[in-house]
Amino acid sequence: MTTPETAERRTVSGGESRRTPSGAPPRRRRIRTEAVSGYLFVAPAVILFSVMGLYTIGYGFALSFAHWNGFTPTWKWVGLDNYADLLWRDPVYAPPVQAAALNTLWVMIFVPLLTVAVSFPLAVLLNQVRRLQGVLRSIYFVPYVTSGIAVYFAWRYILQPEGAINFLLGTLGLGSLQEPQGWLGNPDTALATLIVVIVWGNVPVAMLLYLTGLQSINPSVLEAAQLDGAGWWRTNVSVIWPLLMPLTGINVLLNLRESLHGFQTFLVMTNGGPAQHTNVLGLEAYRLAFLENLNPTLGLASALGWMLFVVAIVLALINLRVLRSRV
Amino acid sequence: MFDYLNEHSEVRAMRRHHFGTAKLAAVAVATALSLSALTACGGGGSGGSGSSGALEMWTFKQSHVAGLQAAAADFEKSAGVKVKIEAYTPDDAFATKIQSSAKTGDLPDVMETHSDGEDLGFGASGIAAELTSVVNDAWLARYPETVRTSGYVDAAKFKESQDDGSKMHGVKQGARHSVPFTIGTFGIVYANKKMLTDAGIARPPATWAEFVEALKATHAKDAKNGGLALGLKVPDTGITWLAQPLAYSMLGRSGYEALFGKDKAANWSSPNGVKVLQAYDQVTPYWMPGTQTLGIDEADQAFAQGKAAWLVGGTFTLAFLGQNGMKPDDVYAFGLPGDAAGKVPDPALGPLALTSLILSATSKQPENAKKWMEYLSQPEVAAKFSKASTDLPATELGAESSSIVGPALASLLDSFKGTPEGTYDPRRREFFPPGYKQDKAGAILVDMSPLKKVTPEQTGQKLTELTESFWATSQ
Amino acid sequence: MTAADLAAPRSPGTGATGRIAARAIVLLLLLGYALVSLYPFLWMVSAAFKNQIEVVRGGHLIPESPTLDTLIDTWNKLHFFDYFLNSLLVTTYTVVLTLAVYAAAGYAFAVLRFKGRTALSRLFMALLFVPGVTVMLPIVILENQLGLLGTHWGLVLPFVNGGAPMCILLMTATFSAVPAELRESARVDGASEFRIFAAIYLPLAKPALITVALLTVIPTWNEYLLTRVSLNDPETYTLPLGLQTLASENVPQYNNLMAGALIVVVPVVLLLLFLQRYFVNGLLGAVKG
Repeated sequence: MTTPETAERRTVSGGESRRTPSGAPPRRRRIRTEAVSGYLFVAPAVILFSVMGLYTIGYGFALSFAHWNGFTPTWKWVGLDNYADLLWRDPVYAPPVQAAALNTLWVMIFVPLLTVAVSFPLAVLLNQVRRLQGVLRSIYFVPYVTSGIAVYFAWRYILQPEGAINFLLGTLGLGSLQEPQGWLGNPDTALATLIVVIVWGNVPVAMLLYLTGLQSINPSVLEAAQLDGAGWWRTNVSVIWPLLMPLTGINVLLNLRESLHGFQTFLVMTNGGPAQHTNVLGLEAYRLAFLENLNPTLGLASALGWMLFVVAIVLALINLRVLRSRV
Repeated sequence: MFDYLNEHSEVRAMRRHHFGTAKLAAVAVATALSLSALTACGGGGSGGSGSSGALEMWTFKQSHVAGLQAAAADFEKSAGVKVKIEAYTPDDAFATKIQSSAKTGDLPDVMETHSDGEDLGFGASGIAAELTSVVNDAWLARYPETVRTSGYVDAAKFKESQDDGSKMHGVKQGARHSVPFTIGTFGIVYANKKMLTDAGIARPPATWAEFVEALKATHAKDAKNGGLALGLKVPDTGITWLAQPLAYSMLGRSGYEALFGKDKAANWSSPNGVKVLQAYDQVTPYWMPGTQTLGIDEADQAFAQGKAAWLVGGTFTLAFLGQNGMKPDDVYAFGLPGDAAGKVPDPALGPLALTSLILSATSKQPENAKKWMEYLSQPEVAAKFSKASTDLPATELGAESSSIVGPALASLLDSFKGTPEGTYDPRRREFFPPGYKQDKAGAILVDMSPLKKVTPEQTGQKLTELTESFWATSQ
Repeated sequence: MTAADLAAPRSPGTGATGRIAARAIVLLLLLGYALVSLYPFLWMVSAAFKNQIEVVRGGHLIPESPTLDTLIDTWNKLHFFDYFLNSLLVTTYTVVLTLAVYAAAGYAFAVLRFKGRTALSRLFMALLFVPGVTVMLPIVILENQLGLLGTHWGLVLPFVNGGAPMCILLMTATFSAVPAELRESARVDGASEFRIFAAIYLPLAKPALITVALLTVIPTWNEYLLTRVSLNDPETYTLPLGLQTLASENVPQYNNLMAGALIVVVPVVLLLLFLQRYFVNGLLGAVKG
């Protein structure tokens, strides 16, 4: 494989290069060569992005106006049918999308909310200890580095009827809170349980962002608050929290995005069950794209994916707007 | 600042060589090229069939590999043609494997696929060759009559295929794209003999009412481990393995088929439909805890581990239970008991083709491939394969079949025996609305049992709404 | 006086005992969440050391008769070493390529002036909002046409591209912080742009490069969705897919499954333990940038 470095070394040994005249080259020429190098430096990223990003997005956009099952040689163009079918028109495809949209909405509300609600206090508390901080920080980070199918299997293991969560509740004398069907088997607890698992996985990064924010706050600001007679609680609520508002914005944005697009937790842990009570939009799009066998639903999958894209952009813009007006 | 620069050894080294910026172009181009080079070398692809002279065959069933390999060894001796067997699992990986290989021209000569759907879909997209001229009557006569039409586009299937949303859209009427390879049926109930004895039950239940009573008894004996297991994470199982055979027994063929029709006086929301759903709802208190979170194999495993006294599965379940340490002698296996007061009190379960063989349209040695497919359908080859895989072959093994496949499989073969009217035949689907999806109906049923979210009446209403939605889209 | 001291809980007038009580509460809360963070892993480890009978029965965290057989058995039976090598291969390619491509791009965005720079960098940031599921299907179709589907490069290229926003953001922030005078004086000496990049900027950005590497290693190592739909030959499987195969094909007991999960998780946990400060510093850089 050729990395830029090795390529350069090769050209070095390859032959004598044209010497730059001593002293600064004429300004205009310099700007031009700088621009050329600029393009060359971004070229690999741009080329990759054009193929894997732009092309695929464009392809998906085109496909969202067609019926295709992935095997037949031709697409059948259907205009906006896929969008209409998904949103309201098709009595087969629209209802699951609507139900999934509602579930996704719950996830989008509670995941960012709970993530911030857990990670901010956690960061504040962690910032107050010295000796254990490094160790605890590593421990809190474990859910992030392991987030994937392995840890979801572990969750399934402890959430099953005879699993560790029910066992823990029993040991604590809270047997009445046990979930005899398993926490993922009861449709009333399954979605909430999944939200908790997702929050558990998202807290590490959010907490770390807050922690870095806390450590970069100018001590004189806090001193001033202290002089004004503000206690610990007041300082955190009325000084630190507003100061870290931009970080809250980033955390909310990242978690919103994750909630809207993410479906791996759902795929691995419940596959939308029991009886579709934990179906979300990302999972629905994935199923339409990959789990419909030879049914011609690839266009529907693309249309749904595109709608998710548009919602994400709108959310990001709103988020930016709100942040700008607040800070 | 400049001191720092001077200290930097690499900067000093750099000063010795004075490069022009033009060199940068070479670097960047080289980087870009190396990227596309990677792309290119990745695309070479490996393997590919035909070149070595050996036939290649793919299957999605790991459990079939050993039996197929044994058959391949015999085939090499008799025909002088080598066959390489390869398994790709799970099912969706198998599908993308075929998809990518079709593109790169690396398809094997023969593939084992799901019957009646996938095989014809591959036919429609030009992956599976047309076989009418090859599969003659003598060959077909080896299969029981009920599965001979599997893989063949008859009038009913052709009509179904004309729907835009059909997965076999584009097949030609009268074409054959596959031959059946293994058969079986769903709706086989397995019961743990010891647990039944402990609960005072001496013989398997003969009617639905007895079944519910027996369930109640084992559940009363042990509420945690005495229930009924079924992999309801795959929602189709509840409706196709349990509810539909039950409905057939209660309502008879015409009444059962009308459940999926447009006539509100006879479909799921009608008194008949609700009656079936109420009967099904009788098992609701006795499900194994959390059975709705288990896949099919997981539920089978839970049963084998003694976490449930009962299990609903198919003929193919027996082999799986064996692999998980449950001896055939430890279980009762019987077709789902019928409703004694129903139109078909003692229904038989019709066999259907479960897996089929297709011939790749791009096979480089189609003659040898056809020979191999024909060879696999020969009774003595099929019998050997059946024993090695504990699976039922599509080929009829004749009168002494029970001595060939062993008593356990033979008792399952018994559940196939019945008159046409008295047989619940899961292959028949012409009364379903076009594009009908079992998993959606299954999810509604799971909502009623075990989830208790809706009553049987509401379930009937919802099932009718679902079937109506399919009827509506087909117009 | 540091921010940490000032922010410490302090109830006026209660003196030393109050302060100690407050500290104890803080510590208790922190340790409580540590337990929450590790809870699934405790049971994962516990199950991996249980035998078949005990894991089916459920029960206590501490195995009654701990055994290594489960781990050895799982490791041997399931080609985990092959899966491990595949994971290592995919992750290494992805990281190396990511570093090469986005260090260069970050340099251009941070240091070089060229037309369309802002527009281009915004375009890359917008990529952050493209849902994976939107492009997954076209990627599979595209790679199918290129013959890349099912190969490791078919995973690496989308992974590298997917990392673009985060990596460009980090590298641009890092390179922007390097004083411009360094480059100026090197230019005066006639150094080429690439020399300046490779000999001055890259060495200075080492911590950021390690962070980018880590932030690439973690998701790549754990990636499951695209891998699941593109790889179809067991010989190419990565660890997460091997684990999935173990779960869906062999329907193992939970002790085997948790042993498999443990094998998947251990390498990244070790990586975290050894390199944890780079996570913090790197993210700090990202926030400031």
